[in-house]
Amino acid sequence: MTITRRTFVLSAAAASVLPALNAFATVDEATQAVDKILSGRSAQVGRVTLEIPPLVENGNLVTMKVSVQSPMTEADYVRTIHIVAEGNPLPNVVSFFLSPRSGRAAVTTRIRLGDSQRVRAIAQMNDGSFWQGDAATLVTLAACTEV
Amino acid sequence: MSRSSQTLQSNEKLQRNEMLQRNEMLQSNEMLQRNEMLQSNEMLQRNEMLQRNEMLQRNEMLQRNVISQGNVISQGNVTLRDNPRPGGSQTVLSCLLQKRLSLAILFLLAIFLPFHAPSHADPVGAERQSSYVLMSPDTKAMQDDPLLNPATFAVLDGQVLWQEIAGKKNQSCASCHGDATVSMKGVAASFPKLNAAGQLLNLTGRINQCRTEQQSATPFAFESKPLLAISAFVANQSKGMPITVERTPANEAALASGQRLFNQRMGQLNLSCAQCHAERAGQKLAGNPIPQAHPTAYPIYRLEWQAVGSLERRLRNCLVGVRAEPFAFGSTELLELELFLAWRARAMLLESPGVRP
Amino acid sequence: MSKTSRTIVTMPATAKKGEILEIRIIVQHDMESGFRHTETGQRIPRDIIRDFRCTYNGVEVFRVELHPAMGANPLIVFTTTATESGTLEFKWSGDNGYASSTTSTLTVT
Repeated sequence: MTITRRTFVLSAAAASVLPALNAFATVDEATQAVDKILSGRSAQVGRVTLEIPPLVENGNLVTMKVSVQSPMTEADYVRTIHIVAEGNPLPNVVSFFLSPRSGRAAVTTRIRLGDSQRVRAIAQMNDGSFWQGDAATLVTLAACTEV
Repeated sequence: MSRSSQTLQSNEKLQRNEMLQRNEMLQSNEMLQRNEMLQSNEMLQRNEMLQRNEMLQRNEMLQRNVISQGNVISQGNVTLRDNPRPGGSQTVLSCLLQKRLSLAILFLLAIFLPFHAPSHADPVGAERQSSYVLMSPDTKAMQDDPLLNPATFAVLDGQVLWQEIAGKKNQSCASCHGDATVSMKGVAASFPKLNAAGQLLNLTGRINQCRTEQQSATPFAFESKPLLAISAFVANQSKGMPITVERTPANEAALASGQRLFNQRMGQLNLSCAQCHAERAGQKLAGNPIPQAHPTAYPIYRLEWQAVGSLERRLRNCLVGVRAEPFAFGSTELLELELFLAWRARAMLLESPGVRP
Repeated sequence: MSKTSRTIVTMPATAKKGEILEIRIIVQHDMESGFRHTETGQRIPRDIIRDFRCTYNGVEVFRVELHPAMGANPLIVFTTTATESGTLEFKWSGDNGYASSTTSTLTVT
């Protein structure tokens, strides 16, 4: 079977794009990462607030605050908060492990975001239940290449 | 809310506690040099030092601060990188495509800019603004609070290096210059300038001149961490002070040369500094606001670099941006351009060390 | 050769029992993500802090698992309840044997 020029050009174009596509396949990876955290359970939307500036000047250092509504008592407290990014090469960003001694379930840190994306926060309570929140952000890059 | 002097007392306790004993244990290995750094941090803990250091002026911060010495227990294979970090330009693969996109936009803008975008004369006097005003509140907060500012570590490193004996003459910066908070006040704001031999120097050049001529030590490599640290520390002593570079008979020629370079079209994109930073400052380039390009915050922690860097590094990047061969570190062209930029920004206040996106 | 890694802790020196304290900690570390390349195209290997723990008189009260997406010179702002006077210890550990520890004292009335 002869390959037409059109077929060759189209498949070559497709082949050149494929490796780049892998770099962008992170929404699925993020979902997998979240599934791994949930291990079969589901996460209710609510109680978790993720604050990221809606427009970020540079994705290398983005201030992020996550807080969960919780009395943080022995009977009712947040055990872990996981941050998962949908547009980074690796979905897991950071995980916080709290205790009733934390007083408040609120943590601020600075993270890297490689692209405009949705970032998700999954919190697990001491009773095993999961709650989630998210924030979408636009990440701009410097106008000129840097060395 | 008033806090007692507990912080001062607990600071003194820090000096006496086990941590310092562990420091002595670590004297035998390479941490010895770093111990001097840790011990020098004692200076930080003394309240008067804190008050004199503009960085930590806010009273609330003073009372609440516990500046602890990070005691590194083990180092493993960690190495000190004296040389500029190899130029890894981006953190993720996806940025490569965006780089190409922004280059394409830049190219198109370069073609259309001179013909379609309205322009104005170089802002002067009170029209001049630091690029600080263009930043998001988040980034501004990062610069304003020394405890959030990633460049603070460079300043602290510089403070320690200030005391470090170097070279055949066994002198440190402090041996001649004593207390930097006194001797270096206003110094960074006066550079670039000519030395006694009529040679034009910027601050890092002057630091290296001291290294070779006064300390008989090897000069620091351009853009190396120690050089950036000392320049951050020295520049910080001029924070809040106006730039004092003026036109003099001695620097006139260099200044004129720098001005010519500022106005000269360069590179494949055939753009001059003035076309963007003078005529179109405040307008957007590939989505980013164009600053007026006053060097009021150097050395800066540039988020794009994820590191502290000098004005020369930034200028070289601009040259790469217009697809010109960048002038070498320490070259006459860069020095003349720096001189012109400092003169252009005369009387503007220094913010060093700054944070920029 | 060794690299300096300084930690700056900001927290009150005194507190009332039961008061929730905000602790701000920042550590000097490049957090090399492992996704950057040299000019010649070689990948720079990952070298990051992986773990942060805060103990309060020996009891762990807060822990963090860090991944390459954490920014350089990691900053963490968290809270803990003032229960008794004593020592808070802040420990970082990570790739290539990196380990660093800082303490601060707290007086609780």
